[in-house]
Amino acid sequence: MHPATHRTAGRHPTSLVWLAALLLVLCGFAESLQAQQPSAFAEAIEYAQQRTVKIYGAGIARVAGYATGILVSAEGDILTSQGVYLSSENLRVGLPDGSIHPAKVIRRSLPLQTALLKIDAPTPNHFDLAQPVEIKKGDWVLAVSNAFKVADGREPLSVNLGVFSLRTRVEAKRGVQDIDFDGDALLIDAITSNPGAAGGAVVTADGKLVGMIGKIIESKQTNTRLNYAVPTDQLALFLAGQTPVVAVDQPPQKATLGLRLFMLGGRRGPAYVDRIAPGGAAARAGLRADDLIISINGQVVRDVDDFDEKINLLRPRVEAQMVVKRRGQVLQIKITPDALEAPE
Amino acid sequence: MRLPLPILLLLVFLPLLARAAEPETAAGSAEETITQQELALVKAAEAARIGVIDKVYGCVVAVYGNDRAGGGSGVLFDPAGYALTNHHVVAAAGVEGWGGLADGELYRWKLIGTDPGGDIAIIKLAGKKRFPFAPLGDSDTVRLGDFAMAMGNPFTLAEDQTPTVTLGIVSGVQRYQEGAGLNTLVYGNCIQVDSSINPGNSGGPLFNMRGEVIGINGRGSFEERGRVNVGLGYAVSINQIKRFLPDLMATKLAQHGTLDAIFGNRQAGVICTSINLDAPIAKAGLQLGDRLLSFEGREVTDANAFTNMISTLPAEWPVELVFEHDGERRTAHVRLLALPYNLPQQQKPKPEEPKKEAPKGDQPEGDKQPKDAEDKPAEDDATDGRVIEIQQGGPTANDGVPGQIRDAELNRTIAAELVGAWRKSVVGDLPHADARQGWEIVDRLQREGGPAGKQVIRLDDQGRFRIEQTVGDERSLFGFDGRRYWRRQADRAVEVLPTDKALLVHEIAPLAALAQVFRQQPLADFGQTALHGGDKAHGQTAYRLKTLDDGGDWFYLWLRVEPGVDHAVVTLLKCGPSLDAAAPDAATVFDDWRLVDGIRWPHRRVLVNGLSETPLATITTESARAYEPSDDDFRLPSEEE
Repeated sequence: MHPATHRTAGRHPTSLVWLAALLLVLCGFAESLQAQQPSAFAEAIEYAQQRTVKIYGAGIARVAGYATGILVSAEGDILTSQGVYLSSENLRVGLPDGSIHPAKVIRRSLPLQTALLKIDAPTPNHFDLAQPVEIKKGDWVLAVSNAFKVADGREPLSVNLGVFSLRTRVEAKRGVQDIDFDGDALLIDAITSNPGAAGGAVVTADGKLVGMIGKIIESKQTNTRLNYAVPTDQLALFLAGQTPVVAVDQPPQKATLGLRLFMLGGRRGPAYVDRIAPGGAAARAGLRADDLIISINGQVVRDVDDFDEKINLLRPRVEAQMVVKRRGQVLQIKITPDALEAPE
Repeated sequence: MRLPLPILLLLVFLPLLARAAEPETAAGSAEETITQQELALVKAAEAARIGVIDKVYGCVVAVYGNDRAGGGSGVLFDPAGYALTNHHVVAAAGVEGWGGLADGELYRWKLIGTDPGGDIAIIKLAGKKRFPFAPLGDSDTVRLGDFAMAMGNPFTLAEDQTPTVTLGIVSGVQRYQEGAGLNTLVYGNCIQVDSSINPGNSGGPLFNMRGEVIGINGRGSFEERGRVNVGLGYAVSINQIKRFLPDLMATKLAQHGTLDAIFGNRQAGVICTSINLDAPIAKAGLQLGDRLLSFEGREVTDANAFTNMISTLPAEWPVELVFEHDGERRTAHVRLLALPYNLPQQQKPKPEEPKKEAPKGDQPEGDKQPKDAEDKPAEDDATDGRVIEIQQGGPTANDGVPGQIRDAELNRTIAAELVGAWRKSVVGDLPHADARQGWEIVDRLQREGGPAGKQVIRLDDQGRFRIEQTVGDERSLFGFDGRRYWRRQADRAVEVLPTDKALLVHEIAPLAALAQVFRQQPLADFGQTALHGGDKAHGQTAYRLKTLDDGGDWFYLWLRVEPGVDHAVVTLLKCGPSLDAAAPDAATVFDDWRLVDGIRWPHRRVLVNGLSETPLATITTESARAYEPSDDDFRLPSEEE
């Protein structure tokens, strides 16, 4: 069933497959290619749909009580996304054949926001996490999920098309943003951050699992969402009982510039530097008392309050750009913040 | 920001091109490479896609109301200016307005017909002799993973009326999306895509990669993040729309069909759990507890799937149902009843209203009717989130009696256009000049379980005809002399028949219908002609014409209508004096059309009985040729010599 690919010298197999797929579809406007011809992605979609399940649990308020999961063994092991729906007494898994099975939560990973479920039924069709999958930026990916619970019973899951953009690290955050996930993520441009989609399969154009759709990450400021997948290699470590990343429960380190502002004008006063801590970031960058801070990383600093907000966006040991005004002169200053020591 | 089309398209595949532009790296490295040959193929594919878009780009309509505030989309499917859009677009815009095309011009449009149940409407643009139009595809062949392009006017973005193109794949087929109010705006058996569908895309076409319309985009899954695309859009399938086209072209407020029986999934299969004893299907023998086996030739294994199928059929549509009663397999042919509908109370959709997810999984019944008026607005068409105000005071798209013709005069005009196209389709450019033309046709006649016979027909280009029929020793004559229909059976005297009586004669009726295209005023002697609505005839979607004479007698003609270059290609599928062809009012089905010296002639004509169209007699043409007719050929026998 699995469409096998063979490596050709110096060439990436998936690339050829999707290229061929693309050409098949797009070159074939001629009448020779009739509609009955299976679509370029048909095989990969069918393969993934046979290995992806619907999960029903508890819905609380506006949080969806359903999700998606992927079959990872022949013995009913299922990986899915962490969520409140898992707390249901009546957790159920709907297999592609429409049969419904009660499920138990075996294990959870806090950093990966992933859970391992088990059903008491054989699942001969499953993804093989041990197989390493190479994926390059720009490769097609297909996201298979039950977003919005569109599919019911035996009905096939929804499929969205996108390209793989980047593998990057997402760090857990508390405060301005609440991000539970902490680990490597595959960013994709298919829209997958939808209710019920988490836990779905993300596969290549030849049906190989590259990751599992991650739990929704949404910016509190812009309401935009990150479309990402938990990489297969990370899932494999979790399944094998190893913890890929240490859970980060404490708030992340804050940055400090080693300076104090002139506070006599109150919190709405202009951001004049009052004191410089010796040996601190500001001192190293050559900032002086009475400098007026105009902007940090291109963002205007309106007042003392605003300065504190902008500082919150800086990361320790990551260089930032500052513009300051000193005796009528505007200066560009590079500054590398230090980590703020936790209070004793 | 507006980009030229090629650049927009390029952006779609930017990831691909960016990679293609990367320099070749050392062989064997993990870095991706692409050969010149591959690049050329990719570029060729891209050029092909752009070519397809160019071909259909001009057919996409930006639909506005009279005030030109807000708007939706549409697509032209006929050179006369007929375009498809959503019901909820015209419900907001009114019965007339402005339609923008990619040529930058605005054209007046008026509403022709609308289907609140299936969220489809037809409008007609005016102001151009020939409009570009897009071919309608076959949505039953759409497969999961196929590329699909949506075109339209999202966020009423285009000030120069040029449509926006978004590319994606088919994410799901045979989806069911519950409607609003009672049985309105239901998306049954619809196509789910990840091509971006945003407010303003409503009513616009979904194209396959051959540039055929496979659906009309109308809604998306909008739940928690406002009315913007979240990767799940839905299009009404074009095959559903094709079945409703005749009703809509008849200016009807269309209705969907129902059996008035409810089916549920049980251990034994799909079981009838509730039935209205007055429903035709009950009279045809279906009882509580019977198991549904197949519907319209397709096996039924799931009640939801059955609901999905039936929701796409118009009221009065003839259907075939196979069911099991007490272990006995039975087949029934009935017409669907009209499914009543009510518009949602709240007509003015709220842009940020979260959509309630239909609790589909909890309702196993097929043929279900949502009980409570759910407040789930369909995708209204907004400008920067602003919703079109419902027109106050003036006529609206929802005016009228469900199932009835909205505008009788417009209906007659459209019927006349249809008859004109039928005439052209059969006789083509036959010169109606001095040279008289006629055709002599020799047919074989085979009655079911009866003796075989023979027919010799003479027909001329004024619509006169004479049939000489021999079955065994019995010889009969039938004819039309230009004024009167007549017959002479066996040794009886010649009988002149008034038109209504003549149309009840199985030998005369099909020839009388076929000969209409040669007349100066086709169908005039049958009575007043109206486009009666849609129907299924000979297994195909048909436009049904109804002629009504002064005495209150009627006659039906079923026509197949296909788009053509200069005019629609219209084919006579069936004719008869009764809607359901119930004996003795059998109908004739026409088939096997071939060219015979300048005209198209049906080489097979079958007398059929009932909705099942069970054959009673078959007439097969053995030879047909042109000949030079004389007036004597068509005289009444009594006037001969």
